[in-house]
Amino acid sequence: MVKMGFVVDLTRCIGCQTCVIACKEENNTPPGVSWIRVLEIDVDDEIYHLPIMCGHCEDAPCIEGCPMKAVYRDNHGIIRTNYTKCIGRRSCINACPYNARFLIVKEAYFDEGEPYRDVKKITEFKRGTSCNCTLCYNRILKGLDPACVEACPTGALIFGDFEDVNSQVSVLVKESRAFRMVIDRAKPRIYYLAPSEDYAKKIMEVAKRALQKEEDNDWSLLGLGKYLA
Amino acid sequence: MPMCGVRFLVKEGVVVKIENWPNFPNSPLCSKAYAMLQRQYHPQRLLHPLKRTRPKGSGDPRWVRISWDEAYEIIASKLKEIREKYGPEAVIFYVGDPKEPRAAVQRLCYTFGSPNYATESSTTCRRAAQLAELLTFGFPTLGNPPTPETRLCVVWGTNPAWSRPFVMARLLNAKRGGVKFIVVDPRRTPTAEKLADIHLQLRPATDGALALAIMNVMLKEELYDEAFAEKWIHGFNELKKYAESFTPERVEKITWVPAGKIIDAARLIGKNKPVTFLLSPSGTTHNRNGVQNHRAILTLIALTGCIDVPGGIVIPTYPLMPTWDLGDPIFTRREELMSKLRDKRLDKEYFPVWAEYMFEVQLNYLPEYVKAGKVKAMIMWGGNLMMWPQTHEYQEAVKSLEFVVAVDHFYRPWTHDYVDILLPAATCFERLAPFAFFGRRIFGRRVLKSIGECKEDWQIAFEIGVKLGYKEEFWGGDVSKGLNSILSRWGITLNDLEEHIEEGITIPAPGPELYRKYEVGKLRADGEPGFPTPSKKIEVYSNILERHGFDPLPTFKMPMEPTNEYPLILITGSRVPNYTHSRWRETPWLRELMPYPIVNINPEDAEKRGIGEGDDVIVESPWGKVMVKAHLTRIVPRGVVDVLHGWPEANVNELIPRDFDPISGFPPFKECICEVKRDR
Repeated sequence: MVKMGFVVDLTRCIGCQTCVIACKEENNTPPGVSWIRVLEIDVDDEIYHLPIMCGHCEDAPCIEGCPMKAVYRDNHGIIRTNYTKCIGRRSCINACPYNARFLIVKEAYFDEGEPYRDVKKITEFKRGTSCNCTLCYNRILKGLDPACVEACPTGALIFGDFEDVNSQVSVLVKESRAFRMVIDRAKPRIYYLAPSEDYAKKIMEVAKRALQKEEDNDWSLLGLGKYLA
Repeated sequence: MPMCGVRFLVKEGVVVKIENWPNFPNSPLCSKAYAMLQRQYHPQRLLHPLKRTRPKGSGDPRWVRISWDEAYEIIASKLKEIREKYGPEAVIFYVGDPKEPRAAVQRLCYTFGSPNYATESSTTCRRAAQLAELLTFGFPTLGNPPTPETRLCVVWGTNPAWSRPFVMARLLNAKRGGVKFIVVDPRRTPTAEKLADIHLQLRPATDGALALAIMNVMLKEELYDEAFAEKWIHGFNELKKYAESFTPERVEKITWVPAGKIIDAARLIGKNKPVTFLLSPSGTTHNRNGVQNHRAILTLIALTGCIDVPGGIVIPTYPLMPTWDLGDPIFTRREELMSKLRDKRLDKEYFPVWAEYMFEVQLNYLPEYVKAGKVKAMIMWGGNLMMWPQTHEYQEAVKSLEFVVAVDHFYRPWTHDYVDILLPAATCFERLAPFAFFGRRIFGRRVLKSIGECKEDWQIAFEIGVKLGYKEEFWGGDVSKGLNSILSRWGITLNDLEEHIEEGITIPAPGPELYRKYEVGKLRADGEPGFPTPSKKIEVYSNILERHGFDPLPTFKMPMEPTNEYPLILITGSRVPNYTHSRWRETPWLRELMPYPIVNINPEDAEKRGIGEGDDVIVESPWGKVMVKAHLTRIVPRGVVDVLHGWPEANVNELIPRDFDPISGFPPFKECICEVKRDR
């Protein structure tokens, strides 16, 4: 089976947030839902911007955590949510250490309507259910990159199949500066490229703390903050 | 859409998808471009012309919907009446952001008979740096990105990572290709973090001292281009003498930049040629010594000799015409009418150097002009009164005018509560004018039908022109005819542009790009060798400044000194990735990224004050205060805080004094002192 995932080059991420908005624009996600977000982290006085998204983990705690079997892995290896089975218990949201799952509290932004949503007939977002990044499966099945990857102006996001040893992502993760941010047992299909091996460890530790802090705070800049509550 | 390379997909008459236009000159897109749908179809967009029915200052204006005909009738009769009573110069024609309406509004202003055309550029943004460039070099430049020849790039006071990500992408590629970088910025911006071999993290508003210290080392260690300096710099000996006292050790105390780093930077600049520079349109001039500080940076460029050489600063040999933010001198009728109108300029007594060099009027003295009875009406496209320091004084001034019109996309109470007529502008999806051009390549637009009764800016300007009796001058109100009158210079029409919408049309240049044009008389109108300045040289020593009583050399003056009560330095006006000035805050996709106004404060400064992440705090200067949330970040150094402009609920410009650079009239957005306190 293919294992599609990301390599994120932290030496090229400039925190411009283009991926975040390109995702919202492509997927018409509901208010407060950010399937990709870019955190600002401080590593020994140096500022890094760190994109965080659903890693479609191996040993995914969201799948294990859902009592309704609403969260599942499809035959492309993408973790999906069955909107008819989900009852909004938030088990998957609490289980995800990357804060990459969201409860839908409102389906659209404007009560007055959004013509582009109506024309596109957006129906898959149901209030009171949970959702996560779909890897833009409509795009990747056509051979396109996910919207976030395509939009990244600096080429900091790279997408590909980790099962294919010759893919760009497989080659990049062999570099000693590559690291995977494993929290608990969840192994996301996301590798980050730090400036050096030394930095990789430092950045990973700070990033883990930032994710924890994001959960604790009731607001945060450029992160989830109040939308997590 | 050809300014930013936005491609869009339309279904059932609705824009449903934004796409990047690969290989477009300004590609790839930024976050704002992908958020355009929410702005285009925002439920609060202005859709109809509005007229107030209660007097200004009486609270609720009670706006009522009127027809375009009625709006134009009122505007034309009021403007004529004011012209009759006080003269045409009593009307200000103003364009803020976006910049696309400028050429048409300028034409309207001069045709009406007023010289008082102004822009946000001429008030708080690009033009102070441009004045410094014209005084020193004689031509405008913000520098050039690296080319394959470039070995070193100095990025001074600008953060393309967040203002122009597509430029940042190119800089990252240049770095990968071996170009070295010096970044000068008080903040640890992503630009500095990702590019800098040397980051000169200076105290805000001390750029002049830093440039002089770098020159001090270059002169002492003979790291400058001696032949170029001898031949082409006016005032080189005076500069040498003046720079002597700016030793790295002394300047370390002024700028907070370690002397060793200053020396390293000077050596890197001196030994890596060609060197290019990327300068800020405004960051270095937002202080009371701004023009001179910026001139010091330009002087440093002159010492490298990398002017009009491949890989350095270049001057286009065959530009099509000036960029739209300036407007073409023929189409705008500037060339034809300005000499007759010049004497009636509002700013000429207050800012004489400015008035001599810049055709746009300096508007920071708007309250003074109004109080002196010189202004009676104002018509503005995209105007925002929050732009000014001590905003309330400008609101009072505008309120007291006899007649004010605003053209905008949204209702903005902090500005529009002081106007009489409000007109709904078409968005960039809905406008034909202007066409885009990059170098000598021109692109046309596909135009969507406007929502509601919105009209495009050019059309509004043209139709007002016709109503005022200038039917011929405004092509009977037909924007396409106006555009074709420009395009006819190159033998093309709008139809041709439409046929070549994908690739645009390139107008062949009369010859190849030339370099060192000053040696062969290709920079001056009179064909003489040299630079387009009175001395024909780069004027480090400016006789014009001297004549007007200013220091002729790029002298440095200390910025405001922090006190016990106000120990921090406040920066405003820097860029964030998700907003452009005050715009886009109504767009929820972008607003989610920064829902509240914030102050960026160093964690050590925050800790001393018992301030934690997300705390409500008050930022206070001797002139005003705002309530914001604290964001603890080492992006700002200790002793400096940064508050974004353009928040109506926390207008940081109320903290800035009306204490201007005497040469440019620019406000001190980046040197004000302040304190941050927890809000208890």
